[in-house]
Amino acid sequence: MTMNNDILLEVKDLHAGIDGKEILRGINLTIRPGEIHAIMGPNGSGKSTLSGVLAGNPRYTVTGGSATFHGLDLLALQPENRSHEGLFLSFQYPVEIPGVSMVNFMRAALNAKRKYFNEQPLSAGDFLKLMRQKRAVVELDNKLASRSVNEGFSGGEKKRNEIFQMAMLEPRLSILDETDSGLDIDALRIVASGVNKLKTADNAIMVITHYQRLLDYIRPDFVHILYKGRIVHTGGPELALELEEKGYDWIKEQVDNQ
Amino acid sequence: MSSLNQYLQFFEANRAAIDSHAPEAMNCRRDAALATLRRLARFPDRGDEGFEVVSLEDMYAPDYGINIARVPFGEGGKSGVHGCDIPNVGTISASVVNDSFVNDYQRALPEGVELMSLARAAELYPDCLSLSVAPADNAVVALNDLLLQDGVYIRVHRGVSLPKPIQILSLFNASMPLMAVRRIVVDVEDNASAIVIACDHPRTTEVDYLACRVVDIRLGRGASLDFNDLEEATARCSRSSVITAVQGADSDLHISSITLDGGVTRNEYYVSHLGDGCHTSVNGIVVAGGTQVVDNASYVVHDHEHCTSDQLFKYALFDSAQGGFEGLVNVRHGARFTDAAQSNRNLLVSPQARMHAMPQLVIDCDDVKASHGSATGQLNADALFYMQSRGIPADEARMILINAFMAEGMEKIKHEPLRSTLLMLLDRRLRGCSDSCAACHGHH
Repeated sequence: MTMNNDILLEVKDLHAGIDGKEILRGINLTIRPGEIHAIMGPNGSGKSTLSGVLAGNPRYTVTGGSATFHGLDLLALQPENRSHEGLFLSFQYPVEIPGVSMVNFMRAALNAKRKYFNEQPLSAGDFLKLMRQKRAVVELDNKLASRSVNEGFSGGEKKRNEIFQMAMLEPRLSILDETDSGLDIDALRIVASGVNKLKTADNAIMVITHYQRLLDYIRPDFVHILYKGRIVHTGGPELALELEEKGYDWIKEQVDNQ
Repeated sequence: MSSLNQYLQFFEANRAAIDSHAPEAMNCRRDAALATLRRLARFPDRGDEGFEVVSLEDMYAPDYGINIARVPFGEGGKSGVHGCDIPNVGTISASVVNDSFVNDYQRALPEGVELMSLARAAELYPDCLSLSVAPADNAVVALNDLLLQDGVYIRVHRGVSLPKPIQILSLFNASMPLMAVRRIVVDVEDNASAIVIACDHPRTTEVDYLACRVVDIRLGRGASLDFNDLEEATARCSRSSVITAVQGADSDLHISSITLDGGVTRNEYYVSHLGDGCHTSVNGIVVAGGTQVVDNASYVVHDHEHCTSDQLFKYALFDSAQGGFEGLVNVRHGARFTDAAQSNRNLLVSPQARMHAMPQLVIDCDDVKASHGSATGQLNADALFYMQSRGIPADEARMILINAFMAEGMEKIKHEPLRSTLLMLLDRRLRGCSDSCAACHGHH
């Protein structure tokens, strides 16, 4: 099949930083449709920077390298256009936006995407129907959908809300940035099951996590270890188990002694 | 030399002409006003207490024409109402074109409601001009007294509840720079209730205008008034406005002031209570762009028991707009069980915008609840990125955030059709501001 030989995301020698401090020092990563990649690594290794840079967070400055997203120069796109083109970031800390209802927020998002592809806005009826369908994916309460974006949501509700938005936007590549942080086991199961329901042969997922736990539910094809701004080791799912058992020290030693 | 002098000289040279076109009840107030202004010797200037961003000296300095001979000019009438952006809220309406009352409401007024020229009302009810509770040394009120010839009189008789809003449209329409001296008197008698919408617009925008406007409100016992004040003018319009209100026991006053566009605006509010159980709310909504300056000064005095008040002023400032807010809650001795809140929150959309805020509480009584606060900030960058990451373009995301910020103030506008219309005007104004200053805060 040619499909799976297509490259969805190709990151080459990516360098980026914040406030003049370099954090990513040459990331290389290739993701194809249908794949699940886990990015693991100790604190401060650059995991969240990588997700922020790919999503276009203006806090970060790209200082070198490239990222090609199904043929497009990803780094040249505004964050909103990255979203339209199928990139989705599930935030580690979803932002509360008082006064903006989830309904209006999602409607603005969806209609902006339709406009980008020269499509008519969804009718109110169709939109609400879609909301209802996608809410079910993560068992998100109807009441939350009518509240302000993330305002007063519990940690678990916020993460479920992220996956709900992912369901609404149907991205080609989803980056889940520590989606497991702050979740109890039940919420983790719901979120992971939501992600699995949304998984198809045509889309891909990048899971950023500290722990093996999430990977019991979202099974990765590849596990990458990020350390000091580089991917220093890549393996299969067994690598995550090894990390869980041995910690990061052996990796650090290997890299630091090189 | 103070810019006040030109008005004093003008008055002295033209007093006979002014008097001849005004009722005695207005003319008899001019000597006291003249004495006050002579004593003041000048208008308040920037740096005077309570005048951080606006100088009335500067505002009144240009050589505006004043139409004391009441030469009719400028169209108004029905076409005037249609020129307003608040159509079809089912109103009873009247217009003030420049400084003249125009009775363009063709239908019969509801029972128990009077709406007429203030010049005529001053002949029928000479006392109607003595409602003002502004401080005796207020220069704007004194100047208004000195030169006043007409305005609007609204009276809602005892026990009458008026579900339809009364809309007062004040228009400028002249071919030369013009100052209009306007006064609106609203007398809502015991247990009566009314909704008033006052709109300020220019019909023509080629010349400079200045409004010297005083609104005097009196609420009887158990009365209720919802007074909505909209200014949607242009950079060539300046306005100094003083709204005074005196409330009878158990009365309910809601003032909402919406400043969407203008040049330099100074709004003052003075509210006092005559009995227990009053509620006062003063709500200010400001969207300013360009070099617009908007200054609100709100003074609420509590000197009776079981009264409540809340003041909320919210500003969204674009470009190099400047905002000012000075609020005072004065809880006097004996005003037990007062519950007073005052809040001012501002959004500086552009790095050049400036806000000066001075919230104040003066409490001379125990057993009261009072709060005040002010916060000024910028749009939340994290929220902006979050919205963009979901596909909402930056400009749209900014609009949504600013609208959300202003929503708290808009929710206080109680009359639903008016609120919907104002929300639409607010959104249009925000988009206009955003377009005009896109270069300085967006697209990077």
